[in-house]
Amino acid sequence: MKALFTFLSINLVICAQSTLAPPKVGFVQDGRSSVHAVVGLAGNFLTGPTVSTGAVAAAYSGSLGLIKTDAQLIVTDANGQAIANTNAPGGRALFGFAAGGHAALAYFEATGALVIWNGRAFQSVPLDAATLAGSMVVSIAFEDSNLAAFVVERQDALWKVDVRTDTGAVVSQTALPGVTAPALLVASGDLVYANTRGLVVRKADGVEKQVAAHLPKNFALEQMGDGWVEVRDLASGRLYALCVQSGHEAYYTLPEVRQ
Amino acid sequence: MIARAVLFASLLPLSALAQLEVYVVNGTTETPVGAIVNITASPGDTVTTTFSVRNTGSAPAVLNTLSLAGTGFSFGTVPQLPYTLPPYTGSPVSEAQFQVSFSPTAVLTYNAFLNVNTIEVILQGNVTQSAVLTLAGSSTPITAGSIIDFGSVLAGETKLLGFNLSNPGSSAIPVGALSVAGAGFKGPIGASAPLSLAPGQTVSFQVEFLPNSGQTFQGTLAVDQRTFVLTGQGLNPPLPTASIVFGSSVGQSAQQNTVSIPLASASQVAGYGTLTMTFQPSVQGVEDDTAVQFLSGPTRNATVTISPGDTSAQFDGGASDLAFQTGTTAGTITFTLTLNGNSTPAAQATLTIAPAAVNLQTVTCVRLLGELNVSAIGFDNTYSASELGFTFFDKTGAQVEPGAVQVNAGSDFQSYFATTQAGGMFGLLAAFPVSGDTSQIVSVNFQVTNSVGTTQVTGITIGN
Repeated sequence: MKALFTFLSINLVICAQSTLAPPKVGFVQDGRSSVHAVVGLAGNFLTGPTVSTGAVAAAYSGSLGLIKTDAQLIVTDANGQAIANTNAPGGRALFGFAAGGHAALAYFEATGALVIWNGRAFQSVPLDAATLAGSMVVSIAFEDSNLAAFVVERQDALWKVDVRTDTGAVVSQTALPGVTAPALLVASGDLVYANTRGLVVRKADGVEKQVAAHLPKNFALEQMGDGWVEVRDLASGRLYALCVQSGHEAYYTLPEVRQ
Repeated sequence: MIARAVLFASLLPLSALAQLEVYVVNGTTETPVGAIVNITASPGDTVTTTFSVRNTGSAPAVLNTLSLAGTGFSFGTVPQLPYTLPPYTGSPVSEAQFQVSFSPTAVLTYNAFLNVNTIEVILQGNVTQSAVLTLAGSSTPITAGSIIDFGSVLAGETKLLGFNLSNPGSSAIPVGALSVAGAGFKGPIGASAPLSLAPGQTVSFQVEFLPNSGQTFQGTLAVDQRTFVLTGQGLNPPLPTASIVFGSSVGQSAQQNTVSIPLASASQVAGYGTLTMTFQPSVQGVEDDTAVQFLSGPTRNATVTISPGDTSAQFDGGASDLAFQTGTTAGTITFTLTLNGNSTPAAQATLTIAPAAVNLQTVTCVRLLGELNVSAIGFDNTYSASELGFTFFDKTGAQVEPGAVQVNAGSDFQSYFATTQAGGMFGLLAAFPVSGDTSQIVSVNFQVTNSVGTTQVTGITIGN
C-alpha cells in the first residue's frame, strides 16, 4: 500500500507512506531442532514451514536472530535470512539481545566463551572463566553496549551478575530471591520466571506481572520476537508463547508445528 | 448257467460296475448301516438322522431311488434325483447325503422302509417317555434340538428364562442329567439332576443369559440325552449422550478457547469418534481462515476416544479438552462430533464470531531521523477497513497542523486481504517523512474505520 499525502504545519512538512503485511511474532525452535516463522498476534498465530534445521539453540529479537548449530553461530535478519556466521564450539548456547534488538550476545555453555554481535561483526568478550566458576548460567542479556548480564544458579539460588563486555570484569552481583530456573532475561530488561501459578514477568522497575499458565513439567524459555517469549515443552516439543509487552502479558498456545 | 451269467455280465453297461453303500453320519463319523437302523426319541421330539450314500465302485453310479414308507418318519434334506455319484474318493464331496426325521407322538414302536436304489433299510423308531420341557407359562413342549432364544440383552445385564420339566405319564421318569453349557449362559438354577419326576410332577428351573459383550452367544441345555440350543444376542450398551462444551462461550476473533465433550454419565463401553471443526466465514468472498484450527494434531479434525468409566471423551494424549483458536474472520465455527463410525452427528455446537470494529492490539510510534513511523498490529474480521486517521500533537498538546490526517486506505486493505493467508490480521507501518524538528511532535492519535465502526487509540507517545 502506498498512500501518499502531504500536509503543512507551522514548522513541519509531513508526508505519509504506509505498508500492510501479516504481523510477525518471530521465530521458534521446535522439538526437532527446526526453526519456524510465526506470524500473528495475541490469540491468533500461524506457524510457518521450516526455515532452518539443525538448531541447537535459537532466539529472535524481532529484528535479529541467532541460531546455534553444532559448529556455527548464525546471525539472521528480521526475515530469518542468514547475514553472518562464525565458528562455534559444540553444545548449547544462550542468547541475549540489546534493547532494540539490533545487537546480541551469545554464550557457549561448553567453553564459557561470550561473543558479541554488534550489528556488523562478531567480537569476543574477555570473560575470565573464574568469573562464573561454580555457577550454572541460566540466561544472559545485553544490558548496554558495555554490560552483559548473567543470571546464574548457585546452590539453588539465582543471582544476576553484571559483567563489563570490554574487560570481562564483574561489575555487580545481585541475588534474585524467589526466582528459580528456568528464567529468561528479555531484551526489554524484563525477567521471566515461573512460579506455581504460572509465569511471572518482572519488569525492569521491579514490578511483577503474574501470568496464569498451565506450564509443562520441564520447559525452556527463549526470546522469540519483540515482546514475545517462547516456552518449549522439553518432553513433547510443544510450543507456547508468552507475551511480555506491558499491559498485554498473557500466555498462549502456539499451533502445533505440522510437517 | 455259467455261460449265461458271463454273457449277462458282458451286456451290462459300465455303470453297473458301480456299487452303492449307505452310511449313518454322526458328526464326522460315518458308520455303514445294517439292515435295521434304530432311532430313539421321546414323544414330541424330532430326531434327525443324516445318511450318506457312497459309490464304492470304479465307475460313476446314478442314485435314482430314495424312498421312505412308514409313519413318524419323513425326509429332510435330500439330493435332487437322479444324482450321479462319482467313485468315492474318501472325501464327503463325493457322497450324497440326505436326512430323515423321526417325530413320534406317542410311546409306540415305529417302523419305516428306507430304499436307496435297490438297498432297503428298516428304520426302527424306539420311543421312550421322557420329561417334557416347556417354557414357564407355556404348555407347548420344546422338542429336542429346538432353539431357545433369549433375545437381545445389554452386555453386563442378565435375563432369566424359566423352564418346567414335567411328567405327563403314569410312571416315574428319572432325569439323570440336567445341565447348561456355553459362554454367556448359566444354570440350571433351582433344580439339579439326578432327580425323579413322579407322574404328574413338574420341576421348575431357570437359565440365565448374561452376555459380557455385543456378540451372539450360543449354549446348550441338556436334559439327559436330549439337547436344546440356547441362543442370545449381547448388545453393547449405547454410549452416553455426548455434548460439546466450550471453555468460553464468547465468540470473538483472536481467541484461544477449549472444547470438551462431557458425557451424560460414565460410559459403560468403549467408543471412538471424530470431532470436526468447520468454518463458514460471513465475509463475502472469503472462503476460509486457516488460523481457525485446533492447536494440536490435525488442524480441523480431532480423534476422540471413550473408555469404560469415562465421563468425558478423551483427545489424543488423554486430555479432556482441546485448545483451538477462532481466527480473525467473522463467521461461524461449527463443531461436529461423530461416534463409532455413525455418520449421524452425536453432537454439534457452533460458535458465532460476530463482525466487529477493527481490533488494534498494539500501536506504537517511533521517531527516526527525519521520519515518524506509526506501527499498528491488529485485525479486521470484516475485511472492510477503509479510513485511517492520524492526529499528531506537539509538546503543548496542540494539534500539529493541519490536524487530523485522513487516508482512505480501503482499496489497499482490499488488495491486502485478497492476497494474504493471514485472515483479517494485519501489520500496518505508516511512515511520515518530516521536514523540521521531529522532537516537537510528542504524541499521536490513530484511528481506523471499518464497516462496523471506528477504533481509536489516543495518546500514543512517540518514542525514540
